[in-house]
Amino acid sequence: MQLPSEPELLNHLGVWNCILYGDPALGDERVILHFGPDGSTRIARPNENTQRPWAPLSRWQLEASQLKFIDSRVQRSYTADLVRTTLGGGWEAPTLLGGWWCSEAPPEIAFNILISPAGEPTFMTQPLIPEVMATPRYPRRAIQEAKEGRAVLCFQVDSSGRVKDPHFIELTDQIFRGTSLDALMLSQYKGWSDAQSVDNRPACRSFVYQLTQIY
Amino acid sequence: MGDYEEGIRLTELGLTRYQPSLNDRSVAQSNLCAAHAARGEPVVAIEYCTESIKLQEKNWRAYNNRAYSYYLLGQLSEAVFDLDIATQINSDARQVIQLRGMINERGLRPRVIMEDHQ
Repeated sequence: MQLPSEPELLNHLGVWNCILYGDPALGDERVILHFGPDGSTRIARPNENTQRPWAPLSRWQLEASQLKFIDSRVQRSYTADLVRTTLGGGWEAPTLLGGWWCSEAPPEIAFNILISPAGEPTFMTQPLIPEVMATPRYPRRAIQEAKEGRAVLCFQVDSSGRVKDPHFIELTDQIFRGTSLDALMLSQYKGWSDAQSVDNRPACRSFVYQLTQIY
Repeated sequence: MGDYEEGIRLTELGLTRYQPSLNDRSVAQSNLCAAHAARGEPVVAIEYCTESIKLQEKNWRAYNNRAYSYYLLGQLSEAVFDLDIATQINSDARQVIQLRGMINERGLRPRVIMEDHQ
């Protein structure tokens, strides 16, 4: 008899280029996270604190496939399911919920090249520019059944601007799965060709499906 | 079209020649309502459905047929009002569910808001 194999878990150790979203006050934040083999977790915000870019977070913990750590300064608890092919998941604060998504960053980011000598951030400061944003069609059956909903997809953007490896972080109804994914995969960002050795960048897109009564 | 006309003729004949029960008269009026609606005569249809409902207030088909007639006239609020009553009487009826979908398709404007997080 063959036993079902354990799912392979993502190795989260190292440096990650991440976005944090869902806080209306802070907006989307681009940060770098570092998970050390000693259980340490550190966060850096590229465009602040030029002298000491890294701030400590709680030690990371692994419960089954769930990675957990806490940012006590903003009272956020982060979780990630390491069954995914890249690092990301959700965060919870006392009154807020959000998400985070990462792409692997080059190891040298972990060592002091975060800020240039001029004090300018040297890493992931250029925003991703959408060149094509395909709008999903509202599923006909969802209109017939008066269904509204929301989908959040996180993904990687490669240096040519292509969307890769999409994952649903939030999906209120399966009826919105196909149209959201189709629209995302038809989208394209402006590519970049700077000298930084960054292959992929993380991004997320939310789709809010709404119906308005017109009679 | 010919089938509806023959149906209408025979139903009216039955109503005048025989002495149908209250329930049968309600069913007959509802059928006349459906036939006129199907012939594209919603105003006439509504009169028959209203008569049917007066005779038998739990006749969900009459409410559904009148809702369809209002739908044909573009009076969606009235259609939804009648359809809600039909749903309360028989929520599982295929016709009720189908008409609800038709009304929603015409009466709800869909919108998708997209936001990038990066």
